[in-house]
Amino acid sequence: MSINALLITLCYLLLTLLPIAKFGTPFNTLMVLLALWHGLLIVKKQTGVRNSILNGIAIIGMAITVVSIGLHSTVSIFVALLLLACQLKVLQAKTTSQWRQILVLNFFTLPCIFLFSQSLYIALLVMIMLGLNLSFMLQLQKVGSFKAVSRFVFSKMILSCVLSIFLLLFLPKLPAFWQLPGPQLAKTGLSENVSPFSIAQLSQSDELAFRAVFASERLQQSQAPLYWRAIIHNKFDGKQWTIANFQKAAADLQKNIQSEPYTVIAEPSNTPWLYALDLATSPTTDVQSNPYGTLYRTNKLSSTFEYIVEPANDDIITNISGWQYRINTALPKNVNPKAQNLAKQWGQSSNTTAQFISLMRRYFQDQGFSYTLTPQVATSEHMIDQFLFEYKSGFCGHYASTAAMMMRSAGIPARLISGYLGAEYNQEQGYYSVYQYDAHAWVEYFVPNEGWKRIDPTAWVSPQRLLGSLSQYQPLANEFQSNLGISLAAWSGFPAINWLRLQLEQIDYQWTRWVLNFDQQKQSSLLKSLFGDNAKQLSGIIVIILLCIIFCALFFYAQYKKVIKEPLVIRLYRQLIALSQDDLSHTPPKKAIVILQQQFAQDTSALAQFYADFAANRYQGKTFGKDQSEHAKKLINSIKTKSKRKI
Amino acid sequence: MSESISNITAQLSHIIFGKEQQIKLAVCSLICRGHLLIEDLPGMGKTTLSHGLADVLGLSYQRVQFTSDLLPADVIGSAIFNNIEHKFSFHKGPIFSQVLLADEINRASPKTQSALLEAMEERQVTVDGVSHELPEPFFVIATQNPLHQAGTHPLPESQLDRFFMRISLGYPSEEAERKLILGIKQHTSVAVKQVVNKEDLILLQKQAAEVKLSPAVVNYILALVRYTRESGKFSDPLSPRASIALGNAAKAWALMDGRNYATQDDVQAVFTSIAAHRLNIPCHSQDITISDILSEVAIPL
Repeated sequence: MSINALLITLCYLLLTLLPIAKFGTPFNTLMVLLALWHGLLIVKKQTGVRNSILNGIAIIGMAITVVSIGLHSTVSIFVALLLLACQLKVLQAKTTSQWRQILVLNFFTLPCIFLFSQSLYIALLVMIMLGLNLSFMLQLQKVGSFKAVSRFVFSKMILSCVLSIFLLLFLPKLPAFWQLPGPQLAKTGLSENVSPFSIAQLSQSDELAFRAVFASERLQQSQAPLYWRAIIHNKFDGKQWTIANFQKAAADLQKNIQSEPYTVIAEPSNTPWLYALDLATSPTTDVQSNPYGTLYRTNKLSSTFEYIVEPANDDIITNISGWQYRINTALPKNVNPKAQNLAKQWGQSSNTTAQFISLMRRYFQDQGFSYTLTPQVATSEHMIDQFLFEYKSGFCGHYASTAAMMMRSAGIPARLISGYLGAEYNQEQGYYSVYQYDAHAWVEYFVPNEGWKRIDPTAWVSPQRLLGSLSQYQPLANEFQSNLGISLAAWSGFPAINWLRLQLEQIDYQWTRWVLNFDQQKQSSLLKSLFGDNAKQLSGIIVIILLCIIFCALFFYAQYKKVIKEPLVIRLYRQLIALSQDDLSHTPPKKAIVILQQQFAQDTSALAQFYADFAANRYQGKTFGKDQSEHAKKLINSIKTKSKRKI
Repeated sequence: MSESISNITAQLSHIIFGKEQQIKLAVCSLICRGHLLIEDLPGMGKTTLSHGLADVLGLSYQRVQFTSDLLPADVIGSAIFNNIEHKFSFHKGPIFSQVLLADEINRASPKTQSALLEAMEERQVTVDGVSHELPEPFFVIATQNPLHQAGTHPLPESQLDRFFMRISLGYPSEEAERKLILGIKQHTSVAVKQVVNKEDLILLQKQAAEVKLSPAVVNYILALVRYTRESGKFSDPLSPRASIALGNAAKAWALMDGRNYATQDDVQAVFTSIAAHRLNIPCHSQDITISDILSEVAIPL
């Protein structure tokens, strides 16, 4: 068991160190140390650490867990504590029953990682771990060598995969009975609060944000930059942009009939906000659109989420009410006085909003502003002043919040939008992938009688940024890659690696599309295409009937195999004694026949004849031929009909 | 063959009334060359039956009344100094007969019991380093009082196992008892004629060995034996010696029934007398316990 024990420890260690859960360095270190200790114990051939030591480690470990993860992410804490507890239990385990506890618990512990990621690779990993776990369980029962046992287990697992695919496709999907609150997943992604001036290094991640699938070719080939709106920040307190509470109010937007709907598959995120181009509505349940045309989901889930976006008419909001105007021009007093003065100057010297924008644009272009992913952190209270007149370099957040603030100073309603810019198009499958490093911020301003317009002040400084995804943006390639760290996206310059990345990406897309997001809607449409209307009920019935048939068939096959081994004469004898009112299975044949003779007096001689044949066959090894069997069958039938008549 | 057997049972029925089953069992035991233990209260006809058995087979027999002061030498014999020849010569004890009637065997001391039982198994006696063959055939028919009676030494399990069968006569029926009272003489074995000789007996034994024991019957014996071992209801489950005895007895029983094949019925018929004493079940409760076993074990076909 000792080597197996170490493998279990390695499973825990792997789950801990996987970059998806993020338990933090102190916890990871603790787990590594425990694993090393376990390895040392095995080398020394010692088993079973004393309880007092383990209790001490457990208390220290709990403290380390809390320090390492913090109290904000309950799910991560509990998963970490579970892993720690299991690891300590492994160290403690001595007896078979203790091992059995651990192995049974592992069926819960190992899949816990699904809370953090449900990708194909994690699924495969967990499958393998569960297979190992099952093998250990079998080996614990001393069924066979580990190799033989694991071959058995994995062949059975492949069979069960086939069965689960069948069940996934055809068993009607029910809504979940209860749901866990998702763990705090996205290390990157959009936030409801934007404060670009306090960020020293824009952390980039090649994690997927969402994918979009368009039905028509037209949109796929469009050259215009794709601005995926997600969050509207309409409050600015001088440091950060936040959202107003009333944003999560559902509104009925008019669907634009001319534009085609498209599908978005969103990865888990910490905010309820979803992604869409321009103003949008959605027919998907649990997805609402607010008066500003952004989508949000009403329940927060940790799994990937697929929804349909229907572009909305953008001509409906051509005027805003007084309070809306006040909100979108509100600025904290006495902050950024220099910038405010500059904006007011521009406002006085320009008659229209367009003139104001061109003044602002000229300022940015003339003053040598530059785009960087590693800006200087603002030290002053007047951050925008510092940016505008001192640093003069920053990323999208800097430009967007500065522009919005300047417009507000001049009395133009403006708001900051965060979302994603660009997308990577997959030729073969025809979908767009948007990554976290595509995150972007821009400005929307209001023109009376025309509605909200979009400007992207970042584009004034680095127009290339608009052309596509940030990964294709050459001038910043080095900066971009160094910020990414080790990932395949960082190596996309090499054709082979890029090809590999795209292939993996495709597999992941299919997995997400067809396994993780195979929901009730998709199932019912699949079933409808297969069975027509009433498909759901029909498929449920078919599946249940099919399963019943399969199990019955297996059952009867097993029975038949048992029965077929018995010679005809025994089967006939069994049929015969089954006719009696009494249970004759514990009565020797001769006595049983006597009892039958008493019960069916008319067949006495035939019964005697049958017994003679039976005895000749069973005890003397003579053949039980056709004549005898026909005689016996006749006898059985005659008794049957007579006893029926009696009833 | 069945003729000679029916003659034997018929003869014995003259002296023991209404106990055909027990008589058949006793004969079955002798056909299987097995020793017989008859357990019953005093005055039930144990001794009469054993006398009758010896007479009807025409075998030489000796009777030893076991008492608490009986010594092994009293049964086996002892070396006695011959004054004329000036050497020890072995004086054969009562055990050197074809049938030994050990009356009230559980009244003797364990030492004497062991001496007898050793001889039973080995079919020879060793005194002073010299082995003496016992005559052929050699049967011990022992009678025993129920153990709750005063002055009894229970036979140890290992020695009980050496008795092929234990039978219990039980009270006679009212009709049989009436006959007894009316004075039909049955205490003398004169009424019993010898109907078979030694050769007939050996032939019977040979024929019994040839009776076919089909796999189904063997399976049934195995199932019964396994049940006593695995059910946990018995502190002394059946030994392989008991399984062998069951097979042999079933064969002999089939032979007595005039068949050359044994059935599960035969096994059931002999099961009580073969198994009860080996399972340490007292006589008075053996019928219930054994029928429980038989109703628990399914019949393999």
